[in-house]
Amino acid sequence: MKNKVIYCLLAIIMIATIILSGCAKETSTTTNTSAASSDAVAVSEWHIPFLIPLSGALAGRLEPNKWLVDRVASEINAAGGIMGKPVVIDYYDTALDPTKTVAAMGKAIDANSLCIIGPVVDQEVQAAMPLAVKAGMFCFSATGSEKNAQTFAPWELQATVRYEDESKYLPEIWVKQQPSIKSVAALVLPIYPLEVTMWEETAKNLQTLGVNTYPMIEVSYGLLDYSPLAIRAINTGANAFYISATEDIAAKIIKELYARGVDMKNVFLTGESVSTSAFLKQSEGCNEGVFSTTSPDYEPTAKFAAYNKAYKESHNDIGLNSMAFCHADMLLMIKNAIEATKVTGDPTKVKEERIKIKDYAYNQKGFNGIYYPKYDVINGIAYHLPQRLFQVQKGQLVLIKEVIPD
Amino acid sequence: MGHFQFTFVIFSAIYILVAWAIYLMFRINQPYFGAQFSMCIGGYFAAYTSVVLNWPFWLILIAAMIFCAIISLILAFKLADLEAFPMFIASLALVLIVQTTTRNLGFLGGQYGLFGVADVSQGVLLGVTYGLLLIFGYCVYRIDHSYIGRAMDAVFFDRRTAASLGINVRKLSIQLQVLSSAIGGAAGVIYTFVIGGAFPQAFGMTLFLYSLTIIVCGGMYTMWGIIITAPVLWGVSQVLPKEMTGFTNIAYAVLLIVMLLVRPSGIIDRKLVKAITNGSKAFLQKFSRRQDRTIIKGG
Repeated sequence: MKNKVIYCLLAIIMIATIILSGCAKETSTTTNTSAASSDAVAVSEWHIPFLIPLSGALAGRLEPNKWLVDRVASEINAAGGIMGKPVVIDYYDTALDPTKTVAAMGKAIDANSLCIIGPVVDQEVQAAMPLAVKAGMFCFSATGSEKNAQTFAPWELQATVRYEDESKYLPEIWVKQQPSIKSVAALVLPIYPLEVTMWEETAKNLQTLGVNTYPMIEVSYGLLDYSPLAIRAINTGANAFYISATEDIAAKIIKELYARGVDMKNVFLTGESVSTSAFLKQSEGCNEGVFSTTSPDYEPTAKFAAYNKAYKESHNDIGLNSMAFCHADMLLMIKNAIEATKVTGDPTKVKEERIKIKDYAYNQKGFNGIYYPKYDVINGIAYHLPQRLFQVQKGQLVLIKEVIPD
Repeated sequence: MGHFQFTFVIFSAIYILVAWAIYLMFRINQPYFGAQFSMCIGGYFAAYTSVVLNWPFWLILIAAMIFCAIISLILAFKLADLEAFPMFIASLALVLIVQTTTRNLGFLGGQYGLFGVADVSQGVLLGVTYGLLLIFGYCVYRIDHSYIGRAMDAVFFDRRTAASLGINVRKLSIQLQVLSSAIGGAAGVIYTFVIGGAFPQAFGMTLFLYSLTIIVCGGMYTMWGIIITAPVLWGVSQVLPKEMTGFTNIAYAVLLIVMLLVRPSGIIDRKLVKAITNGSKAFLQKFSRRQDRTIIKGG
């Protein structure tokens, strides 16, 4: 009897403690407020949360993105900040863990943030966006998929190349450059779900061009030898190959295909296969003629060239990858949004100011990006981003064609 | 309640449930992670029945627990006789099988997962979660302090000796596997409704590492340590300075190894529980004697 009493008392105390701790008055620790008139900025610093996986499965891969965001933030502050107040980026490491992402989103919402940068990866977007939608907070995701941007409309912004555009225009250019291509086998490392979706869309488009496609061959991390995959791909009977993997894995597969007499002009690399110069170094001697949707050495704007140079100086001559600019662009968009809407950051007005930011950002014309000089955002999705196809010629990636989709 | 506080409170409860479910099997020296793959199955069951079939929350919760229990029962007939190490390998393989299967099924959303479950208020989710915590906590407590608990101790010591004493080891293992999976299924449903959907990465190796660390640090031989380590370990990862958040998984792994070397019985072991129980009994006895003396003097 006494044991039961003790058990019940302990259970009640435990539950009460946990629930009462949740009912404690929330005091924001990240936004300092000062007395202000109704129009003046009410914060001493603009705190912009950035939900990004800095550890876990993607550890290190998004470091260039973080570097560029920090760089742009310091430049904004050096130029006087946003409406006279400095910007501070509050990083939340989501570690590609949905539980952590939801908790991080909760913290950002509780801190009365006006908007956030991220979440970065589709899985995290799906986990955390329902909370953002409930709180009415706009998320400058940039690298989430278009599918998610539509699901969580109008609270999310996607600002990378649309997979419908990339899977349509670039394979078409490739096939027209190489009329000998009759059938394509795909080797895909599903780093993100989008890699698989991209192949599926590409396959449909190739079929409309009269090119046969075979079911995707899934590539895994950490294999000692990639020759079985290359042999499997060749044995399908395909005379062309679509590869979406990391640089080191793509390089290994290329070597295996090359060793078996595959014409390298019939190889199409996409995704993260050529995101840094590591691919060219690792596949040296085997990559002549390979086509790629990205080039780490291509600098479409002077701004990007300057950042790339600065990054190389501090990173052993390794340049920024082709997606590194995405979140820095989002920071610039947020700066524009705050200045255009004249929000104050006042915690008592956070709901209405979040809506103002959303209304501004959801549709924008002629945004000047770091990598893409000018593009539009229509219903949360970036349009008119140039599609570029490169080819390895004499050891360097050369631009073959650029297309600007409608 | 703030969003983060709600998240903290509810995920703490989910981890306690999963850890208790795994703890039950640890008590008979069969490290079985059925709670984890049941959490995946329960989560996807909840997502599918909510998004596609529009079932109400309460029906999903009950049906998911039954569904996970049935799947576990079918597997349990084969797994019940396994020794500790083969059981560990088999249950880990099942976790990977279930995760890979969900990733490859189109009607479950494939790589993207299934989202758009019905909205359930924070109050209802908290109430249901902590209600389940009390119910399952009471079940685990009663099991621990009954003849079943004593049988579990005997099986933990030596399966063959326990069998020779008349304990039906196979039947005990099957029953505990089913209960463990039912609890895991319930945790999966709650998780899905908190996140808003289910997707394969949610039920992978990170969850495995968290659960194992919670049990080993809390104590593999009592249920009480888990109540402390679950919120503490989950909370620590949220309040670490941003420079250190990348080291969370390393910290968990190091903690796991250190606990196994230094204090394998965990933070709260049976001796400590007994000391606290005896101490509180003595306190209550002293308190009631004082009351009696006061009444007699007053009379």
